[in-house]
Amino acid sequence: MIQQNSDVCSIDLPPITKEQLIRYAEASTDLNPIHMCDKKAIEYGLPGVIAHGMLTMAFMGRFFGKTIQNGGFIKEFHARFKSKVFVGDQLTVVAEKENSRKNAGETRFDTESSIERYTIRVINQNSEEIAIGYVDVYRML
Amino acid sequence: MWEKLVGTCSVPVKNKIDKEEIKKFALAIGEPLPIYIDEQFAKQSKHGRILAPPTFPRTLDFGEIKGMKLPSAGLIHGEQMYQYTRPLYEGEIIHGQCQLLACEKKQSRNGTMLLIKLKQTGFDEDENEIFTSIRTLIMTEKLLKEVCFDDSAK
Repeated sequence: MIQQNSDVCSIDLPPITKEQLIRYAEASTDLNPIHMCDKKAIEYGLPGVIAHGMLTMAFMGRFFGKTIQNGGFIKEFHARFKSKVFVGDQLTVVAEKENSRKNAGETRFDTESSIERYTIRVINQNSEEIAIGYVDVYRML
Repeated sequence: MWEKLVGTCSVPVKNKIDKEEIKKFALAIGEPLPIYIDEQFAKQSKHGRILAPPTFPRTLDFGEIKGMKLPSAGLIHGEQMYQYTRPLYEGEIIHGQCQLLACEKKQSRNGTMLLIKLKQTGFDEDENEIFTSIRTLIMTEKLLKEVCFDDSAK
């Protein structure tokens, strides 16, 4: 479910599944067994498999599909992974628009465009902060 | 351990941005947007062709830093940054190169950790920088001991 309130937008994601982690491992070529095999994860001191930080980061980029389809693109994307994500976790991703500026030749694209900064947070069902970061998105005007 | 290798770059590796790989990746991240998977849609869009999701460079090959073999299991991803000058488009050739930016031991309440900072750059065929990825990886004390043991046993 996507909720929007002025400059804040949030998405509630369905629970993380093991199949999803395996599919992401294959597509990303990150076959670190701590993401796919509980036995291996336990050997490394984890209670079970954990999601790739990069999968969480991919979720953080979810808000910009329409902008990208209209000719925009993500210019800068930062994420810091703070807590682990386990199978069954339900994540909520929240984006808040911070500011917007005219593209002053920062990209090779035409200048009738703006660059918008969004702060992105990911929290789990226990309101624990999973990841935090920002996106600078180039938007065609 | 690898501190002496800070600043070292890999030999660049050629990658082709494959539209089937883009589709597989877009589906795996749960974002099957037409701009990532539908050629007809992408042709008619302002981009003119399929482009890759912003975290797609994770799938590319950037070569290896000589003398540094990262363990295939157990590494934790602490932080990630991508910077793009333009989108990455399907069909193009990208030369990937990585560089070790930093490698330092840190003390935490869980013991000693090794923080590794790697830069990965994608260049087009005219050597223009298309994107840069900076990733911070964490090796826990247990993993550090295993890797050091492997290294000294050689």
